[in-house]
Amino acid sequence: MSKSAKFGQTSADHLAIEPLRALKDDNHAAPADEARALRNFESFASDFLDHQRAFLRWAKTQQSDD
Amino acid sequence: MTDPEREARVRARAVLFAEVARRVHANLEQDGVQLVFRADAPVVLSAAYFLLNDAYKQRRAKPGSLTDDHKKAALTAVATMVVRPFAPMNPDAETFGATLANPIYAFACALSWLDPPASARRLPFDYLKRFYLSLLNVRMPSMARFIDLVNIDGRWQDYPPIAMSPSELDTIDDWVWRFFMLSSRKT
Repeated sequence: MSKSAKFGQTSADHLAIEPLRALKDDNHAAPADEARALRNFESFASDFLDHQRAFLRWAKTQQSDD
Repeated sequence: MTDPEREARVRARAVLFAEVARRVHANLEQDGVQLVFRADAPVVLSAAYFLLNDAYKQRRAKPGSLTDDHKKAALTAVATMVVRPFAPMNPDAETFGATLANPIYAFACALSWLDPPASARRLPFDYLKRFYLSLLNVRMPSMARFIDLVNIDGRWQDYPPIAMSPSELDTIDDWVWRFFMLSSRKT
């Protein structure tokens, strides 16, 4: 194995990264449907918001430990 | 897209931001968290969303293509943390709840696109804390001028397209990935 290769080398001009960055996504959805998003939110809002209140109570008790 | 089309798109999305804000605000007030949420915040948020969306898609999507739900969630969360629409009623006495109001709101709006499993909407507290700390660290310098101008005169309608830096693009990609993983999380 060659010992001439250096560790930790990065491509300064992002030769490897930029072509990857330019790859186009191919997963696209139906047109944005705000009514569907609102229905989704209503379906989980109570559960989610209850959890947030419990989290805030927990977080207050943890502040002095961090 | 013409300006009237753009404005209609922004106003349609603002309805979602407004309704989720109403619920999150009421929920936090139950625990005595006192917050201010400006009446124009939903349209400003929505305008910020589409500025980010259009800049992101320019680099990531085929022309004219739609945005999948994980990307909507990610762009929603990032736009919310750019605008940070909730402010403490008394800035000199900012509480823990007031600090976390924007990340909680960002998460709620983002999840609305995903119909999340229970395991995603009830993350263990320790992970939820890290999730919110990450949201609090979101920075999008390309949006700074937009925020400045909205703060000066309230106008969001005429702002030109933004150009995202590679690191801002990475920020969006990272949140797309997180929401993809969250929505794939088994109960």
